[in-house]
Amino acid sequence: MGFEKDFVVGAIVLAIALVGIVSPFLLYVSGRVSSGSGGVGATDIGSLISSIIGAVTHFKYMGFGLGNPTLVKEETINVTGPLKLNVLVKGGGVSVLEWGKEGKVRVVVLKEGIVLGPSTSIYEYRYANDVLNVASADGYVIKVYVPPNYVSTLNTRISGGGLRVNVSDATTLRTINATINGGGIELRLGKLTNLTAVIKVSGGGVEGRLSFLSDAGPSTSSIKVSVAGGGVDIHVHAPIHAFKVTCSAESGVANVVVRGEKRSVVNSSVSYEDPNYVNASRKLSIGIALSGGGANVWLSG
Amino acid sequence: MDLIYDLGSLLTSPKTAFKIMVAEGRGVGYALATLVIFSLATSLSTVSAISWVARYLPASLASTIFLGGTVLAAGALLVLDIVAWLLMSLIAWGFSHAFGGKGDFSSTLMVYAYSWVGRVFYVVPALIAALLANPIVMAGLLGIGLILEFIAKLVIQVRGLQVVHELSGGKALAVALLAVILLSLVILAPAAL
Repeated sequence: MGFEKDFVVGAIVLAIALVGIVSPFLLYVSGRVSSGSGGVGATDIGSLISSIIGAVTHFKYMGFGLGNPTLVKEETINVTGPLKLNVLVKGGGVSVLEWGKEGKVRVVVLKEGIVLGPSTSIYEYRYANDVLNVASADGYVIKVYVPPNYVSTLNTRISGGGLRVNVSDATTLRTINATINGGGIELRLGKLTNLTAVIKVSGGGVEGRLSFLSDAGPSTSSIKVSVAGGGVDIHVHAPIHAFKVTCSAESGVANVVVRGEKRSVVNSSVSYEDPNYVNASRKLSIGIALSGGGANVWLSG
Repeated sequence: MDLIYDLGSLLTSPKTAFKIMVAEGRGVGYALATLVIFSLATSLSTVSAISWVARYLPASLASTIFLGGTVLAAGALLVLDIVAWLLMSLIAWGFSHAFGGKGDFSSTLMVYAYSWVGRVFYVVPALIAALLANPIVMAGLLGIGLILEFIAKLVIQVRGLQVVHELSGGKALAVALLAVILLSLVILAPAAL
């Protein structure tokens, strides 16, 4: 009895070892290790990285984690016109959230309970001439509460840490310029129209849920995403819009789903345009350029 | 067939396995084969676990780097494992005799080479990590695998030293731990200088 048990265990152990030995070659043959390959799991690498980075950044800027965050400063600022928001994140985190008080922006600065890494913690915010500059480095979480339909421009540069923007009424938002060199950005924007967004990712992740207005007048919007490593996962809901999509992937994998129809791009490029795009009064163009990493973009109307 | 029985019995009842090997006057042939198999399985399953990195390499170089890295990793770890095996066997043989052990050097070599079967506890998590292709999960699985492997190897070494050197459990454990510590110092010493 013991003899047979030893044989079975030995056979299993030897089989595991042999699988371990041939495993790289199995992965290679199946195409899972070639850069930009479309093998199992490859198509989800973008959203995977985005999710991981998103989770890490949530961890930071939500103030969870090691020790309780403490309130450093809280201020309500009177603002006059459409707000231009410049956000610099070098570790730590910034959240841009919505609140109901017209003409007022509230800034809350929290210090994380325990700061990991070198102690270079700084924060800064300054408002002048309808421009609010916010900067956060390791150790600080800054929450900026803005009235709905108030922010006109969002410029951000992230090199570590994270930015979350959650504004359900972003009708006035015309421009987004985001550069991510590590770290992550989460965008939850609603009621968009006439938006021009340029998002550059070279490491790190972008996760976006963008919803466009369906009952406004003419609208021409464009979203350009370039990824050189890292991941992008963007869902766009744009009712009554004509779509134009171009996507190129030198390396890495991009998945573009337009109204439920999926196109995977691996070491190639694809383009799609609705027949009525040129003459449509409401149109949205999406451009994706991938030179490493992954991108998943969903478009629904 | 003998190798399969050996691998199974080393995990289910290592002391009995070594008693049979000693009674049969077994050489180091199968033991060395075990070391080679599990050294290769360790390096190559680790390569598989980190293969997701290839997606971030330029398309033209990914295959070359992956295949070259695979061969290099397998060769490098095999050499390191053989050196570690010889050194640990030598240290353990010396300490065993210091504690009154009676076994010869070749039987110590056999015990240590067979202990490489403990690497199966690293290979399994590494293969799971390869399937999941998730960096954070990979780090966790490989860490767990290393701990389990260390424990399994230590148990097999202690049981083997008890049998071939006729040592008590405590002395065999001391010998096995001293071999690990001394080898670690030998490896770390150049870095500290």
